[in-house]
Amino acid sequence: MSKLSASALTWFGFGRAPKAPPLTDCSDEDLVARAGQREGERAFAELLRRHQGKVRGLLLRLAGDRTLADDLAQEVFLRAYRGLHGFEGRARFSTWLYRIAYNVYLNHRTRVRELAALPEGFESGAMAPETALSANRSDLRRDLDAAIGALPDRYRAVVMLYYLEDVSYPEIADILDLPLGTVKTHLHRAKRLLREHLHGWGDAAPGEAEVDV
Amino acid sequence: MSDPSLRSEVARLRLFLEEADIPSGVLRRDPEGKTWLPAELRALVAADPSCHAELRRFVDREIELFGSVRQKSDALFTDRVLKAAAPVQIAGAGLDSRYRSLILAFAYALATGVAYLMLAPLLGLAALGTWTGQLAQTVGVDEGGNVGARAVAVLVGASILVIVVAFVPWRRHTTPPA
Repeated sequence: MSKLSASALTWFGFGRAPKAPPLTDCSDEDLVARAGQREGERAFAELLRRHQGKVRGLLLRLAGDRTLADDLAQEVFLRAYRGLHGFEGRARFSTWLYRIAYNVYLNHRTRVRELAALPEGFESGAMAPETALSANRSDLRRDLDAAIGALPDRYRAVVMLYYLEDVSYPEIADILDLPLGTVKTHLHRAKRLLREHLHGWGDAAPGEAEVDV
Repeated sequence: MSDPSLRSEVARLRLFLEEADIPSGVLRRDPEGKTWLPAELRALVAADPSCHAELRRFVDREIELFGSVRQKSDALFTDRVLKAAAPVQIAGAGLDSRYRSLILAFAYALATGVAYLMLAPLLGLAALGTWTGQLAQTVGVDEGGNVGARAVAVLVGASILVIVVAFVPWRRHTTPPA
């Protein structure tokens, strides 16, 4: 039987379908294609498993509240699910997802500002450690949480996307809709502010504390 | 840190560290900077405890930042999203692609047949009977021009058209359309 006729029979539901690779071996793009077909729920679940950690982490850092971050992350994945056919493959799937996440966060922030009800305790209660940490690490984590919470919004988004580590500078620029030069400037200033916050202003070298925020 | 020369050395190291993009994996493998610090700064770190402490603080902070921005995969969250997604339709994915192709192919076949019937007299082409007769002869079912054989011929022609349209490579669904 020729290859063409075999594939035709398979297509019509006869014969043995070629074995699809396991979902864990598929690229994100293949999973997107499979999520739009029959039994797509498993493919979407794999995408969810792969990307939820970073999306939730990003939103946790942006929103500063674990419950809120998970609610926003759920909205992100539902939007992504609805719009899977809108994913054109021009950017990586993760970049597309981060852009949705940032837009969801901006929408939330706009709503909150409209209600004039900014969340209280942003810095103190934001980042409870997920697992037991050593005392030193716990202190460092707490200080970092406070330092990140103290960053202006525009810097926080840039620096968190940078620390996700799989997002390039041009991709950050694309996600945040900023010029590339601005991204680099924001990142540089954010890192400096983080260090200054962690070391204390008195410890900074002369002239370094005069940062334009 | 009271000596101004020490402060300037630490500041030089800080300046480099602020500009450096060092992946978390490299920092974990080589926290002393043997592979990524310039020789001059490496010597500085080795000779000066303040610089060494600064480097350690930087490495600890960076590793913590890289680690803290990622959350662990949470099965409960996955379950929650999948349950919420269950009633949600993926736009444009309501129909399996092969059924969509089949429907389109039948529509093409029907449209082609109708077009032939309408245009054949105008263009002076042979009548339908002649066309089906020729096809019936080609597939070897024509026995004296009976109606049944011609119906089979029409069916064969339509089936060929359906298969061709449904299987042309550019109609296969591989990635989501824009």
